[in-house]
Amino acid sequence: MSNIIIELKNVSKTFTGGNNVVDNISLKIKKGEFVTLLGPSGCGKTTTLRMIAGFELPTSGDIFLNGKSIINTPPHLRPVNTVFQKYALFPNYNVFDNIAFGLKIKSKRTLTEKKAELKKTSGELRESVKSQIAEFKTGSKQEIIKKVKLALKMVGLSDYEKRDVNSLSGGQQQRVAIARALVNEPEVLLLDEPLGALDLKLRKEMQLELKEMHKKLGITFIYVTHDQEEALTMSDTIVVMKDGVIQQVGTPTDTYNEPINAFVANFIGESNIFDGVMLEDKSVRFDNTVFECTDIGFKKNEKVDVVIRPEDIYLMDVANSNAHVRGKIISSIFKGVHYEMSVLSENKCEYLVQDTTRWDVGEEVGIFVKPFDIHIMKKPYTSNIFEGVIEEDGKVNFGGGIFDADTSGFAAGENVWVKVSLNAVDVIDDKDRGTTGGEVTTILFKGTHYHIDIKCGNFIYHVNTDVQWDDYDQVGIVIKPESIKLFKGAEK
Amino acid sequence: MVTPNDIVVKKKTSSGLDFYKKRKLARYIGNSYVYIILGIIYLPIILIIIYSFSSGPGFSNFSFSMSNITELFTASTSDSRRMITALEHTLFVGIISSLLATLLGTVGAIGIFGMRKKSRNILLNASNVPIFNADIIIALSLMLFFTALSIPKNAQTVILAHTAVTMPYVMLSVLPRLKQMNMSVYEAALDLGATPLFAIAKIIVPEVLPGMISGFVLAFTLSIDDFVIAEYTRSNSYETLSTYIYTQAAGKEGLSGALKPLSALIFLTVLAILIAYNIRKNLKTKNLQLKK
Repeated sequence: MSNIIIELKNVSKTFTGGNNVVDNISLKIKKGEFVTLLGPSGCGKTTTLRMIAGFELPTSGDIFLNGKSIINTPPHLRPVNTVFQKYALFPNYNVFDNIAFGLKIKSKRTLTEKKAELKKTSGELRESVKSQIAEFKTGSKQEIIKKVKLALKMVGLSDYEKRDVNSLSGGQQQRVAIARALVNEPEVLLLDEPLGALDLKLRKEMQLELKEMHKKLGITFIYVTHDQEEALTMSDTIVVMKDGVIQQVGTPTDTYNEPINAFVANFIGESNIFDGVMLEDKSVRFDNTVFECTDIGFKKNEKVDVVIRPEDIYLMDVANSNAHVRGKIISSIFKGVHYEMSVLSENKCEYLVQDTTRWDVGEEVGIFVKPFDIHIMKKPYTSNIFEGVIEEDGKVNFGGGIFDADTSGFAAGENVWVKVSLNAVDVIDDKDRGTTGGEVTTILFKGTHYHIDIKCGNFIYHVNTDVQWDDYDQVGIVIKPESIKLFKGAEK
Repeated sequence: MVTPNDIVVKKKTSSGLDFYKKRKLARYIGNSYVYIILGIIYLPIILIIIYSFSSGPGFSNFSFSMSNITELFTASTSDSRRMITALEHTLFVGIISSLLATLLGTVGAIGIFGMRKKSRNILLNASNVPIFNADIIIALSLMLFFTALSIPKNAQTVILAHTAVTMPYVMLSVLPRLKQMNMSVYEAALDLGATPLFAIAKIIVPEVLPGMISGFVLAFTLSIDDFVIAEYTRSNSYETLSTYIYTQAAGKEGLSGALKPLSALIFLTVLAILIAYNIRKNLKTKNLQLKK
């Protein structure tokens, strides 16, 4: 257990206004690991990082560094350093002074400690302490210069000491910011989307450089990004987050090959996600076709999400008897190494396929998938469940609105469970005309329809819809009274 | 199709010529309007400068004499000695109160900036009230306040009053600089081991310094300008320049002749500072352009 450097235990963060940004996350980070917190914007990854750095205090939970709680340690006393998103270089200092900032403070602190020691000691010992102080003064100055030069060399900016930081390019500024953090030899380096402001080519270069630095220094890196490719390239471990909750922790290969749910599958790499039904062990039905797969242990007829990576789908001649389904190419785009094609099957289900062989739009093809390449995932939910309360006869309050519903058998003021199927929620584009309304947060294409999440305050509606909504669309929610199912048993 | 020639022909009509004549006249009137306003502003000042070289306190019968100017620098009469003391008081109160206002205003601005939006707005509006409030109300309430707490009225009361009144102006000139700042710079300083106080002194203050300087200048000029608040919060023996002039003008003896060269001198000093400041600013922008 001693190789765990940072541990988060049931950490939550709620900002004023009741917005739950980080929701009860627990995470262990090993010494020397390159960990990436990955997720879409607003998933709580930056807040998590800021809590480790000490800029935000968790609402509840505890954070440990080397087994000791650091919750009550202010940021300037934590042995971690941060590389900020927008560099955050000190504009009134030159490159050297920027990098030397932390070292100078540290040497000043030791100096005051030594002076305090001098006050305590008396007699002959005094002289030796005095000479120690003098030695330290000249020594630390030399050492700071040496360390800064070394740090600059590491980020490839030797001879830039005297330059004004405002005259540097974005990439150079970020290198200075990295050097400024690394020069303090922190136990943990926190990086908050450090490459976000750079152009693609420079970003790729810096990714490899950072990876190289991590290997050389052996420091623990905690990296925050929304770029899944960046996460896959650099990390030892990826932590996928969504809505303040950790979805999956694993190596890049594991998270890519064995995504735990549809969100992770969609977020990391491109994928085909279909609604399926597990018929029995090693047999799944989707797109009205029974496929052989390798997964076992599901209930009979359990509803599942099926993931197939686009590079794992094989296209063949339409007459080939091995084909599982047949379809027609509806789009074909050349992507350099491969062609990216959409195939619409006979049952009107859309497949995304990457193949090095070109098929033309309109061509009839057969689709074949190997059992090993079909990945089955448990559905995290199969319907919307809310806690609600009967307002009056025919009205029930749940999920941020008061809905008409059949309340026979329930008394006013009674607490109930409310169940609404994913298909029963109607989405309208006027937020104010809905019974309740919110923002579209997650969008998954499921071959035949879209699956979206709508965040209404603290409630999340999961919806199947044929309409293509965009992220952040403000939408209203309407539910037909007959689709609202009420159950007894909810407690206050 | 309309050719360019058609357009030229249209312009050559007689009404077009009238139009140009009218425009010329309008421009003429517009220019003279500016000159009239400039004249109204500067004529009295020019008059003061000219009559500094005339004998006596008044503005009638110009007769060249250096007597007023020598009086200003030698202060031979008790009257002009009183005036010089009042000037010293004005400068003393101005410098001390605007230094205090700059210090408190900057700290206040940083504090308010770090607050949550709701409490920030409340405090910001509360601190802006003195700007909109009538001077006489502030002066009166301060006077009653000092009497109630039995603080003896003297230099310190004037300084306190001026600090309170000018502080919001400092805050208003520092806040925009803070808003421009990338606040993660402060967090970066903490992250590198700086204590919050050290981070503010070394990172935030250099960034807001221009705002602090302009706030100081504003507070200083407001303090020097002020008559109402000083009149209500001073003791009878503690005179500032403005209260001295007021009592003298109302009194039997009338104004000291040395006041004219003094006013001229103050005006010329301000003018010199303004010109120097503008020259420096121009040089700076030129340097910046060269750098780029």
